[in-house]
Amino acid sequence: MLTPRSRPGFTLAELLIALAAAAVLLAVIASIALRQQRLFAELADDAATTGRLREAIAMLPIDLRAVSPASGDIREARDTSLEIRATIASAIVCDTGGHTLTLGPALSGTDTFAAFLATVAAGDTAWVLDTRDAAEGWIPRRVTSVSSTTAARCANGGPVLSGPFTAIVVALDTLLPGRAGTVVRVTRPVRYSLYRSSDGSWQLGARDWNTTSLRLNTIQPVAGPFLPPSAGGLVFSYFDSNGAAVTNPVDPRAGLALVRVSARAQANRAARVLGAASTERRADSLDVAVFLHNRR
Amino acid sequence: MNDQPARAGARFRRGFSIVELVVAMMLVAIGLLSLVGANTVLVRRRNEARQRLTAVMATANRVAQLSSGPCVAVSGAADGSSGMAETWSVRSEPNATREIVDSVHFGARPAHGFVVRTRLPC
Repeated sequence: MLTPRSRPGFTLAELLIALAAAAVLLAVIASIALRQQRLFAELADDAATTGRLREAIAMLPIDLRAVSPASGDIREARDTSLEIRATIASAIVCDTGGHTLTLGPALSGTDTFAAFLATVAAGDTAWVLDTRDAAEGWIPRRVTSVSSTTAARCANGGPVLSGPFTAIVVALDTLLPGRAGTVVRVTRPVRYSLYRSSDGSWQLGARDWNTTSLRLNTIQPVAGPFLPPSAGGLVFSYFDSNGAAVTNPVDPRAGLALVRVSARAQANRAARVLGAASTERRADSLDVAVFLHNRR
Repeated sequence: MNDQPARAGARFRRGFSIVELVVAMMLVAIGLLSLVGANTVLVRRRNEARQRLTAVMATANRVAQLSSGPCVAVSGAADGSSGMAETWSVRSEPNATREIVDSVHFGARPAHGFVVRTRLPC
């Protein structure tokens, strides 16, 4: 067929067939690659949505678990906001003197006598466990100043320690009934709520306590964005030990035993691959139930 | 076939035949199909992970709810979304304690499940 003179090459028909085949193949590859990219984007979006929800339902129980509704730790409770007294420190009293409490030291290891989540400051509330009667109530005192001292040992009844240690001394506004060995916890208000941020999205925000102005600071975002309140972006609900809804959770006698937090968020893009050609943005929700220990 | 051995390298190159081309395209297509197959696995794993999270949250919430409840023996069952089934029970134990057991099953083929057992003072 090939003579020495003829130049080898494609015929027009061959070229057309090859081009058409290549075009089909490229189109298939392109569509698969596009779909692939969309799927990955949707999966990432989906994971981010669940991640936002998990942030909210992981953050809130930390403060909520330490709350004692019977002691009035619930300052305000609504369906989209919750203001509580968060416990920032707890300690065994090492020594007392007039209006002051010397707290046991925070030691590494298991034999510690104090735990601090934040530095105790003037304006915080110290709650001294009153062991004088069987009811064991917490007596609140306002912290007026905080200093530290070096002590060699604690008073009788307090932690048994040898050697000098640094201890925190908390001055209180009025005399207290506590003595060495009693338990004290320090609280500071914090308020969580679903709020609309400046970009129009709904965020879970926290307002912590300003110990100087004795007011709540401006709101700071914690997690989000979530759906608006009308779509159940973040809902707090309150129940007693029988599972009945509590209408006034602030009341120490209301018997609040369980707080449920439900968060709802929406994906950023429509789930066209994951949701089988759906044009809707997927909404996802998670809820967490927090069982309150410190109740009567 | 190769009747010009001396000049074959220099002047002639045999192109691909259409059969070769089709075979090559089929190979590419099989590669792409396996990619699509991997996607199915990806989506299935993601759904499983979501189900697992739902089941874990359901169990944790159930235990919290039962812990907040009175110290009496109860049991119950509930069905959740996407084939999740949950059963729980509270049993009184000596020394004013109670045992809470919650078991969850979810997913079909393979079915997953776990049991949470905890003991609390009354």
